[in-house]
Amino acid sequence: MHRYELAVLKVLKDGKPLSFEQLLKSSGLKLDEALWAIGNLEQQHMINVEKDSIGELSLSEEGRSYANSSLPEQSLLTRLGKGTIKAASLKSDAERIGLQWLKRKGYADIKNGVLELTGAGAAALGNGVPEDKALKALSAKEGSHIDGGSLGENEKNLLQRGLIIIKSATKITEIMITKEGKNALSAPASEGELDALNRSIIVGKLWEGKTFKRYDVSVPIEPAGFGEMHPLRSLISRIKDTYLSMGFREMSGPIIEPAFWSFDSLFVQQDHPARAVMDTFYLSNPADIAVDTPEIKKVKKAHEKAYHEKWSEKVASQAILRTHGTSVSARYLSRIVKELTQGDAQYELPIKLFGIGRVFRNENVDFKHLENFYQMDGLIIGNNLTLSNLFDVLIKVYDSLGLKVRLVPAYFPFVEPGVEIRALMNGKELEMGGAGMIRKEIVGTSRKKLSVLAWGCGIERILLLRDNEIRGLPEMYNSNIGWARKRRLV
Amino acid sequence: MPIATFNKKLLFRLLAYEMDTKALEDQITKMGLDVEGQTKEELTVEFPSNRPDLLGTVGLARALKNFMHRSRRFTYKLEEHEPVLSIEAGEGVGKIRPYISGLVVEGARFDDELLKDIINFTEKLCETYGRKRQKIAIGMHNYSAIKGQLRYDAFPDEEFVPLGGNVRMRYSKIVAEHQKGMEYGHILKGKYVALKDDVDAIALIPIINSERTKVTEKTTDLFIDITGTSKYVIDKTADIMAAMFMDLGAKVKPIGIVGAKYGEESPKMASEEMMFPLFQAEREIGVAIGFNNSLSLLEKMGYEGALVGKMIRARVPAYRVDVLNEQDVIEDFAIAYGYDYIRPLAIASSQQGELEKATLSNRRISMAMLGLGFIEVMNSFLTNERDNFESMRLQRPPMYITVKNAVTISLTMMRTWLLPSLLKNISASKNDRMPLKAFEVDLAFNMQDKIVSENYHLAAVETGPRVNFNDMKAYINALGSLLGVELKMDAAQHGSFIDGRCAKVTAEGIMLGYAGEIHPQVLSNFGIEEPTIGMDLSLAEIDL
Repeated sequence: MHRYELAVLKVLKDGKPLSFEQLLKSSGLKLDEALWAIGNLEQQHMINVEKDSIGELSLSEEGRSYANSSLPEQSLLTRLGKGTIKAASLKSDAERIGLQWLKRKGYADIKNGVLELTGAGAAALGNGVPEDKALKALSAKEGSHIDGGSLGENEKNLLQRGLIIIKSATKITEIMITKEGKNALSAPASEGELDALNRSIIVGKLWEGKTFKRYDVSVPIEPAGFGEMHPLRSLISRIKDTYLSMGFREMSGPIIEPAFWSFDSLFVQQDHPARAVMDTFYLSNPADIAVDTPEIKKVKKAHEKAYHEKWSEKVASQAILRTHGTSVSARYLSRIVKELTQGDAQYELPIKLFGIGRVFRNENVDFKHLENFYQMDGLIIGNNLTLSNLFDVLIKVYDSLGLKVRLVPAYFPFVEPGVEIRALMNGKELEMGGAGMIRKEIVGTSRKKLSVLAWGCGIERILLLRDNEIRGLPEMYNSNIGWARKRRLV
Repeated sequence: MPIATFNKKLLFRLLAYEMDTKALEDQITKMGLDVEGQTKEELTVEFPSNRPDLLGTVGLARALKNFMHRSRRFTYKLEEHEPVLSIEAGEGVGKIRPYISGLVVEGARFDDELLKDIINFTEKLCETYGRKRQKIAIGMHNYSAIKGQLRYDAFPDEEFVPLGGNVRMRYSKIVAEHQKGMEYGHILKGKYVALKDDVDAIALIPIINSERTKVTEKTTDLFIDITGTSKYVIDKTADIMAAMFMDLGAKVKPIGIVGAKYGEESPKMASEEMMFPLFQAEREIGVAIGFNNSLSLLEKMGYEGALVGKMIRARVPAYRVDVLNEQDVIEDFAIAYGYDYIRPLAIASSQQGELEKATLSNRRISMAMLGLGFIEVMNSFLTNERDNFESMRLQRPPMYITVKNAVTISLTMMRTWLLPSLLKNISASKNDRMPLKAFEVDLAFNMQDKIVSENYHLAAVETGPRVNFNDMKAYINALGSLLGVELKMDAAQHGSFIDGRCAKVTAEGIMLGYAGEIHPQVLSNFGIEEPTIGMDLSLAEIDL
C-alpha cells in the first residue's frame, strides 16, 4: 500500500466519517495527494466516499498570465494616470485589448486621437479595476471547488472572457473506512511495497523503484466457476462434425413411434424376442399410433412370405419408445425410395445420411445399463453400393474418432450381409455396433436398382474409452454438478 | 440374442480336431458368431436368432467342419420312405396347438455327455426358436416303449406318470403343482393336449413327457414329437433334429400324420435351390470371387453348389431356416470369403454435408449458456409423476405420455419439461461448491388431443445463498442479447415459483415458458436448502 493511502486509512481507522477538509487537515496530505489516495482506496473498496456534484476552478493560459501581472485594461489605466497616451501609439495586442475594455467599461474615451480619462476611470484608477482584483483572488483558489451559481459580477465577467474555467466535478462530502480498509490497515504491506496494481500506479509510474507485495503461490485456491459442455454432448458434436466433413446430411425423427418403424418396417418378426416387454418400453398413453404409410401392405406381404405367419397391423401400431435410431433411417429410406420411384425427387445418388439420437431399452438400471442412451445411425442410398463400400465408410468414421475397428460377420434381421463393428483396444475387441446392406424386402426394389448401406452404433462406449474415470454409462446422465465439473473437455 | 454354452471336449470329439482357445474363438468369429466367453472346458457363444441349427454342439461342430473344410456332407436323406409310425391328429386341439410333426431315429449311440447335450439343445430350441414353448415344443421318447397307435388331441383330465416321477398324476394336478406345469401350463388355456399311445399319455403337451418313454444312455431308437402353432416352424424343427441325428450316424425314418387336416409325412427334409449370377455376389460384396473359387466358398458354408453357365446354383441344407433368397446366400459367400480380406472401397460422392436446423440452433443456445457460466447436464427423458408434477406443486394435465410396462416406479412417464430434472441435479450436488449453475437443452414430451409433441426446451437453474429473481432476469436479458431476440418478461403466476417473483417469458409475442425464484416448498420437496432460481423455455415455436 502506498504511504498516501496508508495516511488516509490511518486517520479514518476509528470508523468515524470525516469530511474532505477534516481528512486533509488530519492526514497532513496535500490536496492532490489526498485525492489520489482517496481514488485508489475507493476503487479497492477500502473506503466509502460520499460525494456532491460541484465545479472545480482553474485559470486559462491567458488568465494565468494576467493574474501574474494584471489585466490589460488595468495596465493601460495605470499608464494613463501617469500621462497622455495617443491612441495611434497603442499597437500591441495587450494595449489594443486594454483600450477596448477601457472604452467598454466607460473608463476612458478617445478625443482628437488622444485617450481621455472619464470620471469612472479616475475612480477606478484610485481603487484599481475590480475584475483585476477578482482574478488575482481566484488564482489563489485554483483547483478548489466552486459553485457556479455563487459567482459575483466580476467573476462572471472573467468567466465570460474565458480567463477562468469552472469544470463540473464532484465534491467529496464525507469519507468513511470499510471492513476491507480496516483489514488492509491491520495487515498492511510493508512501507514502499505495492499491493494491488491500479490505473494510477501504472499511469503515474508510481511503481518505479518499488517492489510488489508477494503472493504465496502455494496457497490452495478454489478453481474459478466455469461453464462446461457435457462430455457426451461434446462427443456428439464432434461425431456430427465428422459426418458433416464426410458429406453426410443429418436426419432426425420421432422418439415416440408405432412399433412399425422400429420393428416391422425393418423386417423384425412380430414375435421376435427384442419386441418383448422386457426389452421395449410400450406406452399406455398413447397406447397406439396409426401407421399411416402405404408401406404397410408391402411390409405385411414380406413378413408373411418370410416368416410363414399372419402379420398383424394392430401389433405394428402399438406405441413404443424407439429401441434404435434405425427407425429414423427406416422413415427416411421409405420416403426417399418412394420419391425416387415416383421420379419427383431432386436426388443425386448416392444419398448419404446420418442421425444421432436417444434410444430406449426397458432394462434394469445398474452401473452398466440405463433406460436411455445414444445411437448414431448411418444410411447410404445409391446404385451398386457394395459391402466393401460400407467397410470404407465405417473405417473412416471410426478413424476420425480415434478408433481402429475390425469388421466381422453378424446377424440383424434388416440387413444381409450383416456386420458387427468392433473397436480394437489394448488387444481387445469391443462391440461398438451393427451394420450391413439393407434387405431388398425392406428397400422394396431389387439391389440392381438400389442398394442401401446402414449402420447403428452406440456412442457412450466411445466416451468410456476416452475418459477412463467414467465408470459406466448411467454416470453420464442425471449427474451432480461436481461430476460435471471434474470432466475434461473432449 | 440367445446364448448357449458348449462342452468343448464334446465339440472337439465331434470335430475330430482340437483347437486352442484363440484358434477356436477366431474360427467362430469368422463364421459370424459372437464368443461371449471361454474356459478350458466350456465355450459360451451368442447366437443370431435366425440360426437355431447352431444351438447344439452337433450343429456347431457341423458348421465348423464345413467352414474349416474338414468334411463335406451336403445331403441329408431319409433312410426309408415308408412311414414307420403313424400319428392320428384330432380336431380337438383347435387353435391352441394345431400342428404336430416328428421323426423316428434308429441306431443312435449316446453317452452321458452327448445325451445331456442333446437334451440341452432341445430345451434351448424350445426356449428361443420356440418362444418359450409357445411356438414349438419337442419331446424325445424311447421308441421301443411306445405301444400301438399314437393319437394327438385334446383329452379330458386323465392320469399318467410324468417324467422323473413314480406316481400317476392328473393333468390338472401337473398344471397346478408340477414345476413344468406351472411354467408352461398357461399355454394350454385350460385344455389338456396330449399325445397318447394304446396305454396312456406319452406326453402332456407342451409341458412334460411320460416316465414310461424316458430316453436314457442305453436308448438306441427314439421317437421325437414336435408340436406347435406354426406349421413351417415345426417342420423345420423336425428337419433340424433329423440332420443332427444323421450327423451322429443314426438312421432317421419318416412318420405319417393322418387326420382331417393332414395326410403327410415327416420329416420333410426339404431343401430349396437358389440360382443367381455369380457377378451379382461379386457386385454386392465388392470383391472378385471367380468361378473356380465360388463352389469351394459355398461348401464352406454347407451348401451344395453347382455352376450353370454364369449362374450359381446353391442347394440350401434342410436345417437352415434363415435362407430366404439369394441375398442370404450372398452373405454366406462374403463370410466364406472372409470379412478380414474384403478391401475397403471409397464411394464416389460429391454430396455436401448438412446439419439439421435444430442442431445448429441448440448449439448457439448452449454456447450462450456456457458463456454465462452454466454447466451442461444431460438427464433421462423418463421420469415419474411425483418429480414432474407433484413436487413442482403442479396439477397433472389431462394428457401426458405414460409408460405401460415400467420396470421401476421412478420411470412411469415422459418428462413434460426439464426444470424438475435440473432440480434433481442440484439436489444431488449438495457437497459441491456454490453457486451451482446448470442448464440442459433437450427434448420434452407433451400430448394434446391425442397428438404427441416432442420439443426442445432450454432449462437452467442457479443455486446459491445470494441468488434472486433479478439474477435470472439478468441471465435472460443476456441470453436474448446473445441470441439476438428480445426475451420479454411479464409478471405471472406459476406453482413452482414464488408468487411475485415469477415471470412468463415471451419472444415476439410467443409464450416460451416461466422463470423466477423457485418456491421454497418445491426446494424442500427436492431436498434443496439454498435459494434457487430457474427457467424452462420451450424452443418449439421460435427460431433462435
